[in-house]
This record gives sequence, structure tokens and C-alpha cells, in this order.
Amino acid sequence: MTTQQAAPQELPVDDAGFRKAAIKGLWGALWLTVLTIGEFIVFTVGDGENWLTVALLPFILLKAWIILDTFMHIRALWGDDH
Amino acid sequence: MTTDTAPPDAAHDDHHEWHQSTAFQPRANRIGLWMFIFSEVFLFASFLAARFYTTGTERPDDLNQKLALAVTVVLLISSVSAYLAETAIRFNKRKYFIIGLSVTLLMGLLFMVGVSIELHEATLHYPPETAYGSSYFMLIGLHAFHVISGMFALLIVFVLGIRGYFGSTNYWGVEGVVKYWHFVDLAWVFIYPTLYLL
Repeated sequence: MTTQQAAPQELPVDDAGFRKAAIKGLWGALWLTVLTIGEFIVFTVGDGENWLTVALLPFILLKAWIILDTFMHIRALWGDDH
Repeated sequence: MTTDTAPPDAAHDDHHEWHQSTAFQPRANRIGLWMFIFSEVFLFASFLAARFYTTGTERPDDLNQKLALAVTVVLLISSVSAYLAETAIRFNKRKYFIIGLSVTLLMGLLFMVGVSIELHEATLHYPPETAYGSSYFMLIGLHAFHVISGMFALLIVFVLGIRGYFGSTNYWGVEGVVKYWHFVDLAWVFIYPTLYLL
């Protein structure tokens, strides 16, 4: 036997919550911009040097973590986010 | 220790059943998507490793650094707009959702234009038959394929969103596609330095 179940009502508009989440995203964007510029500056300074790989690694990993944490909500997997 | 022994009424039972099914489903979907993303990580990692295995940190001098930086910025902007679109639908802000997805699609298109120019230049300076060229074309091609499929998925979500399919209690479709788009951005965070900087 099947039952027709009504979909839940839309949640009330939460302007403050939206603003907070949007600001969090914009902070993530700002950090990504800073790190991308930093990465490029390090590259221009150290082009051809042996230490370049080691110097770029923190920029790459930090950018990856910002995307995973801020944008992809990876912490939601163990219930810390959302 | 005592437990509640009163039999639940039918309405409560129905509600409980509905709540269980919808509460479980997005969690199962999320885990499924993360498993898919995890498998994709290995795919990209193998080609990133192949680039270093075949050519070490050698790279051609005539790589277009300015264009590569520009497309990187474009892709990062697309990730931010995708995040804002997802956040907007979670909070029932349809206008911002539409704007966010429109910007994301536009940035995706711009990225593909930039990549097309890069590929054209690459065929002249480091064609696929060279060691670096084979890694370059493989990685750029694999990533471009993901961008195109992501844009296709975003377009479907965009059309469904305009038709009012998504809302603050039903946005898994948006979340899933946007998460995939962020993964495409995440992959580029590693591909860009691997091909252009190191």
C-alpha cells in the first residue's frame, strides 16, 4: 500500500544565516586569492631553483583545504558542518 | 531503565517514516558522492605522478604563464559563485541562486575558452608526441572533460532551479552538482602548479 505524503513546508527565510554563510564563502575566496597570488610570486622568485617544490607545497595544500572545508563542507561527513 | 511503551498513532508513524527516509537519503547520497570523488582523486593523482615520472620538474620555456594564471583565477571565481548559489538555495534566496549559477556557468565557459587557446599553443610548442606534451594533453584533456560534464550538470540544475524544483528543504541536486564543481576546482589547484610552475 502506498501513502501520499506531503512535502515539508519551505523553511522561513533566514537573512542573518544567509549573510553569515555568504561571508564565510567570501572569506574563503579572499584567502584563495591571496594564496594564488603568493604562489605566483614564489614561482617568479624561485623559478628553476631546487627549493621551489617545497616552497609551493604549503600554498597548494592550504588552497586545497580551503576548498574542501569552506566550499565542499567535508566536515559534514562527520557531523561538524551544516 | 524504562522506555516509552505507548503505541505511536498513525500520523506520528507516517511522519516518523517520512522523516527517516528523507533524513537518511541526503546522508547516503553525500557519502556516495564523496566515494566517487575519492576515486577521482586517484585518477588525477596517477596522471600527476606520470608527469613527474616522465619529465621530472623539466618544463618548456614557452608556457603561457599569464593565461594559465588567468584561467586559474576564473575557475576560483566560479567556485565562489557556485558556493553562493548553493548557500542561496539553502536559505531560499532564489534570485541569488540564479545569479550564482549564471556566473558559475559563464566562468566555466571562459575557462574552456582559455584552455582551448592553451591547447592550440601547446600543439605548436610541445605537441602530444613529446614527453611533456603527453602529460600536458592528458591532464588538461581529462580536466577539461570534467569541466564540460560539470557545466552540463550545472545547466540541468539551473533549468530545474528556474522551474522552482529546489528549495530550502530540497536542495540535494544543487549540493551534489556544486560539490562536483568544487572538486573540478580542487583538481586544478594541483594541476596548475604541476604543469606550469614546477
